[in-house]
Amino acid sequence: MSDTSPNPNNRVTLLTTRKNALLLTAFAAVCTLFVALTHLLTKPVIEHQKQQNVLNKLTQVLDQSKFDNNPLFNCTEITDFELTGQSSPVTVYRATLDSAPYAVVFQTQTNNGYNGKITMMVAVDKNGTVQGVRTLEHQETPGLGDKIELAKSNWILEFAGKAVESDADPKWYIKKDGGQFDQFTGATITPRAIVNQLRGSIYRATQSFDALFSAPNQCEVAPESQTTGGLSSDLELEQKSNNEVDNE
Amino acid sequence: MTANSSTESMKNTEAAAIEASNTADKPATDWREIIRSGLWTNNPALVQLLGLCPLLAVTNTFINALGLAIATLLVLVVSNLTVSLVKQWVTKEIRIPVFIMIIASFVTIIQLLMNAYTFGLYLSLGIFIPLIVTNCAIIGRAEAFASKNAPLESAVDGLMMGLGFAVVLVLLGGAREILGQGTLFDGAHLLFGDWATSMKVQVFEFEQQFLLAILPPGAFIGMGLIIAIKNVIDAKQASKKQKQNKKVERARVTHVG
Repeated sequence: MSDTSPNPNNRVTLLTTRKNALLLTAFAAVCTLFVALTHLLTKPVIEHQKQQNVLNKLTQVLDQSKFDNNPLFNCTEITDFELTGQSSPVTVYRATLDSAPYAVVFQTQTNNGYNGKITMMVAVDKNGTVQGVRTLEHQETPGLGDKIELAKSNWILEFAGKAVESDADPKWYIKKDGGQFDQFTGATITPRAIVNQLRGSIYRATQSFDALFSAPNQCEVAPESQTTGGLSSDLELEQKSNNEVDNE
Repeated sequence: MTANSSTESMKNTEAAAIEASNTADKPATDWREIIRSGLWTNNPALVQLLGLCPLLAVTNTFINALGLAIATLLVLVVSNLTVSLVKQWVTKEIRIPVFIMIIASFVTIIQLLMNAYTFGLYLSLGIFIPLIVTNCAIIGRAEAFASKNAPLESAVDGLMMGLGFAVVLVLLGGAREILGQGTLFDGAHLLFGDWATSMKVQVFEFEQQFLLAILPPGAFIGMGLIIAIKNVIDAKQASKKQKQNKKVERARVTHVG
């Protein structure tokens, strides 16, 4: 402990501590190296998978034959709680036909479900008609609330072809609340949450349709690698680098 | 008496010496014991009851269970192997952080690989892939086995422990999927690619899903049943052995008499 004559025990402790510290550092360095290498190797594939995933969701709610651009490369980020159900920025994809605005595709969510957040993908066309709605994520009770999945029931298809006339359109409620949409036996909260969210969100999208389309494109790819053939299911990996697709 | 015992002890030391030299030349590994221990007597899920959180959470379908089983198995084998390879450089004080670092790195690597090549499964397993790091079965094997044994033995131990864990996961996943949804191999394309969509088997159909099997309580009940079955088998074997032992004892008594 004293400064004049160092205790030999202390010296030994110091040496082992130093050795351990060096060892730990070495291990940390090697581990980080391996993780970093894997990250670098898998990064393009993961990007590709994420894009493919978004594309799959897009084409579920929007008929591929009705537009001719790749919406993944035509998007804008908006912060609009009424439309998206969240206060952080959300990407809105824009589909065009012969370069004219055709439809917007966006994600919206609600926390009013029976168990946590429900995320949906919605496509609304220029006339305000819903092209399609799909549930992307939810934790509703299996067997009851999970009928909102297309895999379990066709309920979610009811919305297609309908439009929201006003902020409180009386048709856009579940039947129990006087509207036109079915609730499920034993589960009212889940469909009510979805219908209520969609009513506000779709109306908002209809109202701001032109504004959404006039906003600058934030997903534009470099001109030399831009696809002209519209939506290709197998996208080139190089195009990913310039894109930031917001995927949960 | 004394002479007898001294010669006996000499024999014993001789035998011990021979055995020691044998083990020095070629360590006699009890492979069967390692295999038995991993799959049955010391099964991580049924006996050590380790890694229950992912086990109960992802066994709602066969494919989910299989996906996590494979990921855990891989981590277990490579982490055991690595821990055993580096054990001579790791001092006692820092072994736990080093082991955790090794395990966490492998889990991250496997997570990245799954994200890249089995994207759907990655999404459906969600948080339970990174949670493999906290699976006590893995750090437990690193500490209890791999840090004391040769690389090959450790890898085999990891493989067997992983298989033991995997069998329970898959059994539980299969049983819950059949009871809950009436299907088997639903979502196989997430793991094997699109050709496997046709693997899905509709065992039987019902209007309402059997909720108890799908929800976590079903996992607990199923797990309890599997443990009970194992214990019944063990008890039967033990009683068989006891009977044999009794016979041997009687034989010795008659011999002395």
